[in-house]
Amino acid sequence: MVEFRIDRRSGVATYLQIVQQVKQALRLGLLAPGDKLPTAKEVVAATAINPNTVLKAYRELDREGLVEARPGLGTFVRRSLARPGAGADSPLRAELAGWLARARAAGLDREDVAALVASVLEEGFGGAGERG
Amino acid sequence: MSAVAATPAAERGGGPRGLAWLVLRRHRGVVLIASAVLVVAVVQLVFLRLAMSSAIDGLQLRQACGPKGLDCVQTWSGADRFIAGYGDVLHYNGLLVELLPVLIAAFTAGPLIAGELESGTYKLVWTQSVTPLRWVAAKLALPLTASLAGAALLAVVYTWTWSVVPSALLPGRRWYESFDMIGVVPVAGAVLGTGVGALAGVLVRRTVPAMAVALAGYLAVRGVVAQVRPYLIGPSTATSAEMPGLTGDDSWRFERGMLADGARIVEPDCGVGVSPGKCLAQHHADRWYLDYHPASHLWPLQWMEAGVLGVVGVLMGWAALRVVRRVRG
Amino acid sequence: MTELTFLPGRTALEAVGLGVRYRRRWALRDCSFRVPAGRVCALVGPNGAGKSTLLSVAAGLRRADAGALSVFDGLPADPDNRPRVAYLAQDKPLYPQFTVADTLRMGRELNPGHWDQARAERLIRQGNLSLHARVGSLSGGQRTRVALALAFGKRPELLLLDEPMGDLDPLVRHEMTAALMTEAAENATTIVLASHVLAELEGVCDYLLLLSGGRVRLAGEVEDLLATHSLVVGRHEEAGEPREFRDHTVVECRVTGRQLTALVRTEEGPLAGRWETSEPSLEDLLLAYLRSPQAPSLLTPSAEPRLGLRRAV
Repeated sequence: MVEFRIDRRSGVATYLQIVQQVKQALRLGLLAPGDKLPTAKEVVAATAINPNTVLKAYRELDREGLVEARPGLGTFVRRSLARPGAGADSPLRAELAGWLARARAAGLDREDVAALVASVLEEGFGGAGERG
Repeated sequence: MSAVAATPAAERGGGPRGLAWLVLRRHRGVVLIASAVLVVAVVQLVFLRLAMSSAIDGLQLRQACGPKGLDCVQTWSGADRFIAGYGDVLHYNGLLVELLPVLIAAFTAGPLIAGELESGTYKLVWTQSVTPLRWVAAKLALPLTASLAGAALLAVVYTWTWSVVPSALLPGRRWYESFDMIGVVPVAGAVLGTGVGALAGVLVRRTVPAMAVALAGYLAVRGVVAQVRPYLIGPSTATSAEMPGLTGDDSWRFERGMLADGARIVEPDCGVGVSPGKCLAQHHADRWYLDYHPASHLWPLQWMEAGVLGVVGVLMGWAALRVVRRVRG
Repeated sequence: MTELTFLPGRTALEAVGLGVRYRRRWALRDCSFRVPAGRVCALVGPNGAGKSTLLSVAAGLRRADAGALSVFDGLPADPDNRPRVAYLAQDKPLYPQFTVADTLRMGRELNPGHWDQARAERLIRQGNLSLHARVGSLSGGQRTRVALALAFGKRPELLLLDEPMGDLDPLVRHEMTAALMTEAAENATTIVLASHVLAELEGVCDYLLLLSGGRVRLAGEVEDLLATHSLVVGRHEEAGEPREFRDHTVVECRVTGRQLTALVRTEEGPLAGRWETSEPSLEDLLLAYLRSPQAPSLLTPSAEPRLGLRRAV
């Protein structure tokens, strides 16, 4: 189950915030195929937003093939956005943790590491922006 | 939660439903106080009648002050004692009966109707599933029921208590002086009070001014009707050569004058020290006349006046409903 | 619930040439609009714009002096319509000497056959209110809760709320809004929410009715209204409005130094030229219309009244 946080001042349309948060949860593996999304009523009770906004977001996710609405049952996740190598127990993650330990031993602080990672990301993926 | 548990029981149980429940709940305090006052007044009137009845027997006033003994107050010492003992009590009870419709008018206009319009709570009721018309009707049903039950009970008991006293022992409380307190007129007065109050309430829409307007309106209508009261049914007329007295037997003598060739001269100005016979000659009249209602006219007059008051009251109540209908769709 | 709450074909509220007069002054004048059923509609406008008047006509408390306002295709005062409409007046009148339980009992007595005691009590319990508390002893926010519980218990199809959140603290305001939205989600209740606090509407309302000076300025889906306007920013040094604006309806145009800021309607197509355009926020849109009383009104297709076509009123 996910919990949505709606920022009314962000300037991002409310339904888009929900779409993005579902995708984020799919990427992080918080939501897996077969999981049920909260009903519009549950979302509305927690966030005090218009129920049609929630339904619009779910329709958008449905259109992208990420979720499916089963009438009378609810909305369910169809596929995940999590990559096999990105899970919490993957070898890639262990390697990265090892690299971080070495970086700290070499005297780099949090910001140095972040800058380093960002520049490598930029080199590796180019300026193509976010990949869905 | 006990209130939740009590809910189904309340739904099954009897008691008033819907708007009747609301009006009674809303004015619970007034209803309780009014009922208590009514019970006390009735019980006290019953005791008063019993006490007066035994006093009249004990002082042997029934024979002395019967229909023939009209001057027993001057000649019989027991009469004085009776009047001193019971006159005031009877008087104040009469005032209560006379005042009841006034209170009903003020209550209907103020707390019952204008108060809701002023505080805005009418919006609460009108936007439930009842129409404004039904709301006003229900609001009027309460004082109307109160008048038809309470005022009737009080008037009947008062009339019963009053009637035990021989007419001669009632200076200032004879049938035509007690007219507003006995019989059906107080009940009709309460109907009028409800109607006037309702109209004042929906027109003025503010509690205190509405009560003042209702009071003024009620007194105005009663004043006008009291002016025409002698003519509500045809009076009896007596003519005589001697000037008739304005008091005497048990009849209501309301107009005296001279007849000059069939024309009436009401209460002619005779000047100081002029004998009635000379006065006749002065005005070239031949006889005196006297318009009066004998005691037997009490009930026909009562019903006529009650009818007039009742009709005016109902018309005003109807006008109040029309006003509510007109204001909103 | 997987279906949208609104049914575009059904009409909750529809005005044709509606006018309401207080003695000499017209509080509403020649108002025509439509609110489809199932919408959460914001009724906005400055103080004195006629919001409360409109709601009291819809609630059946006042008559229209001109034109007509219909509720579910009937008159607001129609006995069949009364049970379907709940109304919360701005001053939230309640009987102060009643307990909360008495107040709910009143709802049950006056709405025979369609009163939902459980739903009303749920809202009371959420606020930790005792059913035995006297209404007169409650705070403003608690009174609002009781008034709202009374409205919910009626199971309305149309809920008319006049400035409901004015006296609530942020936490209670959030709770109440959530309760309202849950109501809309569960029962597809049409909600009309009058307010001049824009923050309480953002993300809540999907339909908009903007009144000012007793007239309708904007009506329609919030999204569509936002999408048909562009917020334009750019450099502008000549006198008068830029040439490119001529084919468009300019709602508002302000020049500060060299910078021009404008709100422009783009139904006729995108704006040509070197302008930086973005979609306005709801607040941008409302403020621009309120600052420019001469800007023409705009009704989206779903907000155009249909009553006039179907039958004459």
